[in-house]
Amino acid sequence: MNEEPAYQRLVAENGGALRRVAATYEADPSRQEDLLQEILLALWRALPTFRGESSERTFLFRIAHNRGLSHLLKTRRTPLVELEGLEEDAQEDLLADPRQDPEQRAVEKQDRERLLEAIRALPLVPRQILTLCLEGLSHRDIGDVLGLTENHVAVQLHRARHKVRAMLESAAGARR
Amino acid sequence: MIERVERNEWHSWQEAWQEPGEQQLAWPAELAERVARVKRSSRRFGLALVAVTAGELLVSLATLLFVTWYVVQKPTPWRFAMFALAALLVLVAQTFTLRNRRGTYQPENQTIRAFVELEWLRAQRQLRTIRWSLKFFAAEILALTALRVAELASDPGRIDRLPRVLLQLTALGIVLAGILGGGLWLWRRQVHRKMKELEPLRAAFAPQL
Repeated sequence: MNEEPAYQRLVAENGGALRRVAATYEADPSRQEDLLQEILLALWRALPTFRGESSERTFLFRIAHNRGLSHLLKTRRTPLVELEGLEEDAQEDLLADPRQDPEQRAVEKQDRERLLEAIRALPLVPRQILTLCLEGLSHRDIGDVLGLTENHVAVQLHRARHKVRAMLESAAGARR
Repeated sequence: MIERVERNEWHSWQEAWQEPGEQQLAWPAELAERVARVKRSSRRFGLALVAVTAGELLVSLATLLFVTWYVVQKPTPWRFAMFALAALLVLVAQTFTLRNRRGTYQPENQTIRAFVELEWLRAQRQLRTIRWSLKFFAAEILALTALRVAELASDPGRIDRLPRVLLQLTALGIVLAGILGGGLWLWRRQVHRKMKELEPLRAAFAPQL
């Protein structure tokens, strides 16, 4: 059976989400790109086994996070957050996208980087739960991706949000 | 009031996280190239898997062919014994490899918890391979030495060669043990490091296990 059209559709619809998953496991842009390629390869190899027992997104996120986890075990390091590099990227994006007010875009970009930085600082399981929730998955779907109960997901999510809030507040305090 | 603040906060996080437009801007242009790259990598990956499996089988086959040639050159009972020993060792090694791999291959689309457990199992199997390799190597050297010693001792005309052969086998054993031991030590360190990183993850899933 030719899986290519299904694969193309899945990647086209979820490319941004996969890129964000890679960003939570790896801060270095070139390694992030390698990880994304690994995720896409794993997805290509696993797609023929998809029988519709779970939703497509559950299937996709399981593969993406399993690859991310393998990447962490292989590289044996917690992702570093290179704020300087990210700020340079933000500057490039401002030049590249003329449709938005540059100041507004800079603020949005900074907000995103701060959030990403706080998320990367979380332990792995709460990090996965929070990012899946930010992608719009229900507690039940997150439980399906991770193999946890809905209650466990809810408790961990509550703690993760609390920690991220504290980190963002302390970062904001430090800037003042 | 608190709920509303939390809802607003969550909404702003989601907005920042998903960064509208990113997906639509970047992907269609990249997609064709991405798919082509993935297909190329997939082919390479498949070929690499075939090469590894074929390589393992070829090493066994080459060993058996070499010992067969050794027997055909001069078919003595001792050489037949050597052939039987080699065949037994190959059989034992292949059986161990197959049994040790059982259950360590699972599709990628399992839950993260199951994946963590699978990685743990893989690490345990690697440790088992390390321990087994050392024992297997010692058994190989001992069996080979015993066979050669028995062969020379049974022939009065060649018994004077015994000390030299013993020395050669001991030296060979030491050199190979050094190489194998060093490699296994490095591998063991790597596996332990991986297990150390998996431990907190297993603990995070522990209430569920």
